Amino acid sequence: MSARLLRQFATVLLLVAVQLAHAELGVTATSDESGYVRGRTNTFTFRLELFSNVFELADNIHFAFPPGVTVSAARYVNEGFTNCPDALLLVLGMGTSDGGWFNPGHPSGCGRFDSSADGTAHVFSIDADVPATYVGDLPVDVIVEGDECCDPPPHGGTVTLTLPDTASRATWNFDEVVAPALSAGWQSSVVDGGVPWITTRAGADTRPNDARTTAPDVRGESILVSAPVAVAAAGGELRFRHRYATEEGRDGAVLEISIDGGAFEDIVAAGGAFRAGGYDGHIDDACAGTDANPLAGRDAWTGLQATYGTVAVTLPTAAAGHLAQFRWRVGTDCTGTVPAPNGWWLDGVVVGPSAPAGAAGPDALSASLEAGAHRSDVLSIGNVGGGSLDYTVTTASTDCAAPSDVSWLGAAASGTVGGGEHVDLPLRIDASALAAGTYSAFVCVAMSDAATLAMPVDLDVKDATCAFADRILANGFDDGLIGECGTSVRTFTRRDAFLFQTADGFAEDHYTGLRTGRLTGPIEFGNGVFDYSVFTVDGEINSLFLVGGTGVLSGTVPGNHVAVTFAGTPVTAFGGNFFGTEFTTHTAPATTMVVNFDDGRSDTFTTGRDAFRGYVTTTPIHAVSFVAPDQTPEGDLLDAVIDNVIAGRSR
Amino acid sequence: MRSHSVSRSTTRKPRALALFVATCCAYATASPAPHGSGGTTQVFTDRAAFMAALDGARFENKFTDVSPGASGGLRYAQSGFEYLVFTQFQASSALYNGRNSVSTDRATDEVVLTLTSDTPVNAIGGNFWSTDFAQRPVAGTITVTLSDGTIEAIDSTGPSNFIGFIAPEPIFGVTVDAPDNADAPPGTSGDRWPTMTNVVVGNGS
Repeated sequence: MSARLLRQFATVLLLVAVQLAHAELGVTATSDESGYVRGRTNTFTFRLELFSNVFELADNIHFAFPPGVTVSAARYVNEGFTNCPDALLLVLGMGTSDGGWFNPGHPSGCGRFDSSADGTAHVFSIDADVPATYVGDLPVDVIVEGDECCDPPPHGGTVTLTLPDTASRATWNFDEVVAPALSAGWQSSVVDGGVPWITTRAGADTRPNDARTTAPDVRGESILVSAPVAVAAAGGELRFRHRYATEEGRDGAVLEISIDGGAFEDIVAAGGAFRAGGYDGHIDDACAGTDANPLAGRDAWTGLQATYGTVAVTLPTAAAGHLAQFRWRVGTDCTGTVPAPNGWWLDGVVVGPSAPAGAAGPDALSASLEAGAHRSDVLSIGNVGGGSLDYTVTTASTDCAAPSDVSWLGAAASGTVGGGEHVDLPLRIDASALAAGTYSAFVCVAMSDAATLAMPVDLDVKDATCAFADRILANGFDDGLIGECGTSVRTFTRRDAFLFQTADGFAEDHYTGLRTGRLTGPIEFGNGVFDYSVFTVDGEINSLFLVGGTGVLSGTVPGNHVAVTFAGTPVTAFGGNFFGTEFTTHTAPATTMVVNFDDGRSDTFTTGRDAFRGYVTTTPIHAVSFVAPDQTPEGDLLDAVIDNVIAGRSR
Repeated sequence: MRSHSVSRSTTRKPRALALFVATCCAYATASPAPHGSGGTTQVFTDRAAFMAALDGARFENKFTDVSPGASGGLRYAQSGFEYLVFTQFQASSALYNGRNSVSTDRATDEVVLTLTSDTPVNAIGGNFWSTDFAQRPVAGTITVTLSDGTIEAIDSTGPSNFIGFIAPEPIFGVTVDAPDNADAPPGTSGDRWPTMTNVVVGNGS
């Protein structure tokens, strides 16, 4: 008897035996996560239970997010029982706001997700890309559609899970819209002769768009109001980039805040404090009555600031843990205006925590120098939070707990980094007094947010002399050495620190919604400048196998290598998420990953799904391969996978 | 009547009608209607000639409604014609569409167009070509098999490749396949995906 007939037989028996029981398919759902983070991929674990006294199966289970939030991966963690062996189960909707599993036989075919009277558990791991511009709580509709095998209805249902806003950093560059539209939730209004705010492509700080208004020669007011955004309970900071051209002292601009929908008031009067780029003037009362500037008598930005500058303001204490809206107001009066282009340009609006958060890298530096040579590498220290981050850089021979001078390593520095900024510090490696051999030391970074970095520096001094006079020509111009007789590899575990040292224009691939299945030849990615192909290494049996919904590139056979071969512009900055997955459950346990480079170098490290690994090199990377060689404690073999790959050149 | 700008071959392979029905029966079947009076199936590789040979109503579909990426079956109905586009019975996966075109998710699968309406159809045509992983046109063979067993195979050169059939008997559908290219240059992939657009169904003489 086939499984389907068996189920139908059981269904009949149950209908007879428990006629009054609930025959419909029901669902409950919970989330392991208690919130979401803007501007990144969030991995949510959704636990569903399907209930049905007649064992009605679910054809489709999918997850609908608000517009703008996209599902980038959908993994069914506990591949369960199905009695529908000949029905396709498709993962659809990747890259859209509604994605999940669909049985195309619906409603006539049999379903794929089983149920029971006591509830059958199904666990799903869903990646959702939440834009940096998204505000508010995040509702997720968990939609279950039964195979309609048996009456009575309903055959499934929808459960809405709401993931709270955790007041993570929100960013508006206005680049997600088509000019002249404003970002979602933002509003423009005018009073009298004011000019509406729009987005334009002409004068952006970060291309393509900015938001701007012009300054008319009559009394008026041009008002831009942000979407309401949650402020961190520990305090928040607003930053933005702006420039302006107004009639000094007569026309000008101010920033105001509303807390929890209350009245707007000037950001300073409300208790905020400019950390950088505060008001630079005062608006006079030059015109009387109805011709007067609506902002007359107030401190403001006025006059000319021809290039973009940063404004950073610590938000009022009263805003902490509450919703805030911001209002940018330009006021003009009757006395005329400055020549066009005039007005106010706005870009790069960030609302985030006011506490500093350090991000330093590389995590490791490996250098090779010819005897007598020296070279400079780079240490980046960034503040990805708010406020000011103080840092101190020292060196140590063996342990950062005991700093000491290292004769061949120059790195000592100290300073301050503002929120959203980073500094690049020189690391001077001098082999002029060193004999051939290997040397090691540490660069030690202490930051005021209590974060530290102990960066091992390994130096290999070659038994050769950097004696040629024409170092530049000998260098060939293409590897970044420019006259220095040596090479280096900087290894990063932080994506943000890696990007500090990666030049703009890099290729970035997330592998969302690709075709699936076994591939017998290489596939190509890149941005037309930094291009690469992905396959297995020569001589290995089998090939790539892309599992629907997982949004990664992976091999067919555990133990095989995933190989990346670069073409086009030489790549000197390469990174991504490199890890191992178990084929059936798509889980990514902590495991060892080995990365082999075409020049013979190798990097072995422990990794997981969210672990980043990046490399900035002085010589081009031509090819690299990945393998996860270890078994799990349960004896499962893992496929090497790569995701979120960046390929570019060092800054 | 035919374009000879591409290498092509036409064969007629006996196929049990039941077999073809089996490929489509998960959804519906077309009701055969008396039409035609014997003879051979005409094969066209010139779209203009094919269109000129049609009589009466026809349904042209440029698939402007499809979203790029994976999708389930696509159902269309217009002018009394109805059909389903999906992969073959017991396929590995479903469709994977481009902008204004339909293709398969898996390289090993076929695109199957199954007529599901009562309106008799004896003419069907469209643009068929092979694509690579990134949905770029790529050299290969494209094979279109009519429900009566007529097989038309051409060297795919791109989206302008047209293949049309006018059969003496009612048509139940077509199957589009892009066999892997065993002669792909070293370092390149031989995987090929069947892709189609500008499908026309109707009747011709």
